[in-house]
Amino acid sequence: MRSRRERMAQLVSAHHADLYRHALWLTGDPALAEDLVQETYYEAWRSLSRLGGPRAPRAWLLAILRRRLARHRAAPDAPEVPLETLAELAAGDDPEAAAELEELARAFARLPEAQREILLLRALHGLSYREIAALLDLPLGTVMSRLSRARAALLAGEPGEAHAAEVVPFPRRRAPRGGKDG
Amino acid sequence: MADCPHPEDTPEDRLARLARAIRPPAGLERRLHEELARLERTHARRRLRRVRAAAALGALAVGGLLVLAALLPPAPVRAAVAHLEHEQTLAGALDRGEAERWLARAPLPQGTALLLGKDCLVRGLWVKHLRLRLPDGRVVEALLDRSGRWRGLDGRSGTAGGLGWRAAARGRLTVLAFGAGDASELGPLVRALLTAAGPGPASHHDDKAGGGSTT
Repeated sequence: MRSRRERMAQLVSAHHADLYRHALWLTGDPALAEDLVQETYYEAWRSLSRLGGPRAPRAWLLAILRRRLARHRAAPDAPEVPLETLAELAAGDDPEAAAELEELARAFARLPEAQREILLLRALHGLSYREIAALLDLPLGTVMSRLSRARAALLAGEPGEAHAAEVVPFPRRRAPRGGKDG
Repeated sequence: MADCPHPEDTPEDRLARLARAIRPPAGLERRLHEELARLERTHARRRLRRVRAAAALGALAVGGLLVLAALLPPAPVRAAVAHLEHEQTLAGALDRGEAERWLARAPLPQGTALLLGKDCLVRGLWVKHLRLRLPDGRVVEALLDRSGRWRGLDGRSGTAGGLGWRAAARGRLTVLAFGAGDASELGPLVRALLTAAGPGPASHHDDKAGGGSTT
């Protein structure tokens, strides 16, 4: 049986980057994203005994992160950060990539937060529809329809691809990162 | 750095790729590990302090109990006090003849009057309860056990229920006397009772078979 310290170290190594990305893509604020990740791991450390199942850690950590984010959003002095700054963070010195990312980030920023989150859970974390439904406490059908609308809106928001708004809701399957269904 | 987009990429694919292109700040993972290690150390120290505090409290509690046990009168004395408090309202020469027969083997000290004599059940043990008035007018309550179960009280004395108490044993007979004032003043009476009710041809069972009121 691994010690708590070993389990936590494994959770940090395996998930901290995606948790940071998730927080950053939803807040646009690198410092805040880092704080949220630290708070997430602190809460995880305190309640590690509630973690169960081999597939659970990512969804469990995301659930903690969502609570932390909601608490931050509820604060009256929570700053509004433009998500377009993400382009600079991701593209580095590559001007083409920066341009593409800026467009994508702008389209992403225009989405309602519920759609942004569901897109991240699917695209960044590779969660299955069922896992997303469980995490967000939503019916499976709602997850599927919300994701479909998010994809369409993201596509419509990108210059030159507005015609593709009628994109099929469930695109080809990517190499899975864990999700079995969806 | 973001990869070049593939022509067949969906926006979702691009979003995923570009989202992953964002690198966490340098040192974030190290800081997280350090913070968790610090939490573990703090937690371990707190746990150690809690264990030490619990051990100290436990030792204190055990010590307190031991002191309390040393200060408290022995269990038979406490039971006898409770019984006597219950019987304070009793008066009169209940079963006087039986008690006199019971004490007939030796005379009580000169001037001592027997006010009450009866068999009593004190915490499951039948004892003889005598109420005596000494020549100086003081009233003494005496409990006599012939089962041998009170022999541990031999030679002990103290204060209980606001009365001085003194006990002495000889063979299986134990006399436990209570009276106002210093317990040492009960010494002569306790010795006299030991002699008066001391071992003789009649057993305690025979005494009870001889009849007597009980409570």
